[in-house]
Amino acid sequence: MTTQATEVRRRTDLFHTLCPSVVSGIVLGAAAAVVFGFIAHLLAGEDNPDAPVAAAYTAWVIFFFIGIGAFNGIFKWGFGRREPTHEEEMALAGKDQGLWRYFRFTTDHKVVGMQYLATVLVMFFIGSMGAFMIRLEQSRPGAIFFNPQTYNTIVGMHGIIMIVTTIVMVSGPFGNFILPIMIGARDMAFPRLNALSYWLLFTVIPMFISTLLFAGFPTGWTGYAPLSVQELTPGMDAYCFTIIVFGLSVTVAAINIVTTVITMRTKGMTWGRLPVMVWGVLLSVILGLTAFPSFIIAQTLVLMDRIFQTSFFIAAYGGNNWLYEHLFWFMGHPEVYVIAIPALAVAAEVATVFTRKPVYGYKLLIGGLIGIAVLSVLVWGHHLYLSGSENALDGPFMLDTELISIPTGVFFLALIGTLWRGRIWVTVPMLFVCAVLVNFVIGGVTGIYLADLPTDELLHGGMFVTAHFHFTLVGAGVFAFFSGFYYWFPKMVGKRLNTGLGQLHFWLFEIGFVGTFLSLFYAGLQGEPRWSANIAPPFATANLIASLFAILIAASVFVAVYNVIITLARGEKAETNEWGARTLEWTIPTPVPLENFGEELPVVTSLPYNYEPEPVAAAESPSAPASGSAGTPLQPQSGD
Amino acid sequence: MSEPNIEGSAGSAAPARQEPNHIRRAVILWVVLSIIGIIVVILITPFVLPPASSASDLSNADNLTMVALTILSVPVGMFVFVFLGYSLYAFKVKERPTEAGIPLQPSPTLQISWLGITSLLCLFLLIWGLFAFYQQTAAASTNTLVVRVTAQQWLWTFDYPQYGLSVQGQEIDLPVNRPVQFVVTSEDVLHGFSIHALAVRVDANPGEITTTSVITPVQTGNFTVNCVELCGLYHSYMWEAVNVVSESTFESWITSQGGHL
Amino acid sequence: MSTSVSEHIYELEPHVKVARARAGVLLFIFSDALSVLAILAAGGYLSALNTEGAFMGKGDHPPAFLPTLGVAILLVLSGICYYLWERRERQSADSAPRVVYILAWALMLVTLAGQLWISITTKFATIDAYASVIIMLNWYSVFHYALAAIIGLLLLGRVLQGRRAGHDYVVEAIGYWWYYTVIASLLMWIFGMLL
Repeated sequence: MTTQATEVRRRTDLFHTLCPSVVSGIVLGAAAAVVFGFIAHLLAGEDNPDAPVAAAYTAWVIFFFIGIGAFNGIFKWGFGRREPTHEEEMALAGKDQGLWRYFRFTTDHKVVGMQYLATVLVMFFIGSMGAFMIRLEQSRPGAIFFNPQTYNTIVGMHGIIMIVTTIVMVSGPFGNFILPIMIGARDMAFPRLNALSYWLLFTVIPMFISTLLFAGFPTGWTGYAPLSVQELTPGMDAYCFTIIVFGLSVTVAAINIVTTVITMRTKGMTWGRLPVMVWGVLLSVILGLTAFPSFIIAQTLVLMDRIFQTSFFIAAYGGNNWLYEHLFWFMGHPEVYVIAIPALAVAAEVATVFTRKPVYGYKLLIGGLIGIAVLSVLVWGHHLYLSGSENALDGPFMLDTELISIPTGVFFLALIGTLWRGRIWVTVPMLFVCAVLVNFVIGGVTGIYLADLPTDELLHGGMFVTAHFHFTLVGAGVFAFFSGFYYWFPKMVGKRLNTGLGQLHFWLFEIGFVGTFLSLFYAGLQGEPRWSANIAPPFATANLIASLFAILIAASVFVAVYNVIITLARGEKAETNEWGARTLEWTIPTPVPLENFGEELPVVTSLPYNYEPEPVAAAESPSAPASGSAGTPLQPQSGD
Repeated sequence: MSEPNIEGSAGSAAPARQEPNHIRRAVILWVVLSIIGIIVVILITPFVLPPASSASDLSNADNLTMVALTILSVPVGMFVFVFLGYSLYAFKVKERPTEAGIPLQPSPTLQISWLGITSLLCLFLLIWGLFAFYQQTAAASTNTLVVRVTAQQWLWTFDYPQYGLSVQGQEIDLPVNRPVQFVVTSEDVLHGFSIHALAVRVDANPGEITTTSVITPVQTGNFTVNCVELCGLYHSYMWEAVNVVSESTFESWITSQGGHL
Repeated sequence: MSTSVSEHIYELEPHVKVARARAGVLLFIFSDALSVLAILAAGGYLSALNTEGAFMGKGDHPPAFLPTLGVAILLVLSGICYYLWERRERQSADSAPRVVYILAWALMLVTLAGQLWISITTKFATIDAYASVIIMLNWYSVFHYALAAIIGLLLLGRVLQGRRAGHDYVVEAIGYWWYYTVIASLLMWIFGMLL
């Protein structure tokens, strides 16, 4: 509901509503893509189909941002006559614009967080549809529904969409909406960069999906050269541009989040009092900042080979695919920890709330997360054990990789210890946390088989690998995302999701997930290779069982969608502190005011995990802002 | 009025008068289930690892490592399952809690013990893995059969330089009980050369030559060579039959294909 | 959507503004430096592998020395000018002669033009791996100079209008980027010469 101010407001006309907004961005971007693509086609000639596609994508991104007004602020900064007024800043933050602010270049971190959340959910949906198509095709031997080209593209699209989505699933929605409030700030350090990071992600989506117009791409999510350089179809260029632009989005977001956490913590919020969730997101984006440049360069080199006929990856001219593999996996391994670390941190955060006790070994847990982050940069060679490259380094890489199991074990200690002797309130978020523990131990343990050279020899490139990374990235990552989703939904949206439907979503998902991927572990042990458009008969039964269980996962997706829709339509209003938690976001009203806190920023005196004694009903009134009630970590405002 | 921050190892804070010793119960459950789990693993191993997978000396060695890892992972997994399950059973509250949980924190002893035990486990895995790995890098003997493999989109070419034989896109024979080494390359893109049953796996890179370990097939049978690195359109059709046969059958196959002995 | 009755203007404290400008630009430099390192590592790795002996052909050579030296000198001069201007400017805002900054920016423009000319005119008979690396180094430098020129143009706008007071941290932060551009580009130039 928009606030109806008492004075009469001039109704903005349709043009000023649509421009600048996502509408003007899309229109301008699409038009520029066509124009520049055509010009490039004229200049490059018939035998270079990649140049017009590349020109079109570049123009799409640049002109989309012109159209959505992203450059207006920069231009004014340099050439304007004065600094922006407070009203202008507030307008840019979406003040008094109602729901339309979600469709503009809005700087309010809460708007960006909601934009990310909606986009993440949509991308999960699309990615899962890809997964179900894969399971459908793999349910029987032979290529039944899709020809191999389509199948390979579906596999690649499922992979990239899910990787992109899982990378941003925690840092995007919750890192943007919740994190600044958790540290007691009014917004992020760079609000305009915040909007930029989201809209960069947005521009990626049509680019990536356009690969279907160009006959897809044959390489799967890893984009290995020289297959990616073969002059088959321009669909591969969509992949390269997706990665480059997405990499820019992650870099911008990382710079923003790191700067925010370093410089904008409120008084008393020392590093030792930072909620676990903030540490998780912080470490994740630092890791992303370190890993992504290598990925961006790899795709740039691929594009150069494709468009400008260079030879980075063509053996006959001195290029080598090992270069791609090293550049890719130098990113690829830290990247899975970019996904996992914030998810595990969310699980720990949620666990404290529903056990009503502090994190078991906060310093140890944070040390563990830091250990995982640091080690993860040093282990990429374990993807290259059987590549033939640098065989002498296989042993050291095995050492490093197995070492990661130590800080990972610390995470389990922390969570088990948090549950132990707690008052466990089994809500829907808590159910998902329990599943994280179960799935992650299976996923983590199976990783050892792949880290160990003698067993990797049997398993590399087979379905065992696929099942392992699904157990970790989905079983721990996505399940932790949902735990955070059900947990923070009442604060972000102000409504209460249906508990029964939430439980149904959970059980369908967990049972379906475990059934599907345990079957695929079995298939991998039997020797089934990855990327099988055509299932060989020995693996047929395992795949059929996996596909049947996947139906449960599909059902769970629709249950969740239904839950969200009916809650948005007619859900119950949530309480200000729906769960009785102690972090700062639960001390402010719902819906969260534009500048988060009242006149005074909160002053923090301890970690937000002290549950004794329980707060009084005062916490539920929306008009009780930053004044601390007993038991919260805030300094009492007026004599307690 | 619950106790303030207790410095004590998990759960060993003085139990209330009627409270059972949760730690003891959970640990006993853990030990019992781990033992049962290990027995189950040993019993079902023959059904999970396919019979064909003991087809070479290397695959036998690797399978032993597989079983060892699985046995080790039972108590690790059980730790999580048992303590999680027990917590949900013993400490669950029916609705929104009105009291805080006991704010346990790990003592320095516990932290060091935990890190120590997990490090030892890690060290054990590492030493086992390195030992098994370096054991298999046996030098080739004079008797070793050398097979040159060239991958391309989307078939395999096999050369037997010692016999002057080259076959493409069809099944091949290997002699049983004779060491064999594969020398692999690719014509176009990255492929993955793999005979799962013989524990043979190495990438085929354009412009580079890679070699597998020297392995000895120890049982006759029909196996498959697969491509395990996505190489484009017909990646999953890129397989050939590999038959491990007796020496005499192998020799007659050689001559029938146009090679010399 | 604001629920408060009156609106306050919440300003960030000055030290926070300085800290955030520094952190932002240093993190950006970190990321870009890693990408430069990735390219250098790629070049070194391909050279070491020398796949099929085809890394470098007979006719292959780095771009002509004197033009690249000229560009490098202009680049360094641009950095020195910026440094001189920045030092004076940070003592007291709007006090440094504008012409020094304009000179720094103009030198960067000429550097960009020079590097563009070099990149376009460096030709190879066959684009083998060596040529590919040189081409990449050339054009990545073009990219860096262009980025510095654009950032410099925005700052030029502010300088010409005298809108500098209270924004020392901007001059400092852009300075970091400027010097980084100089150093990274020199590194790429030397690497290309030695490859």
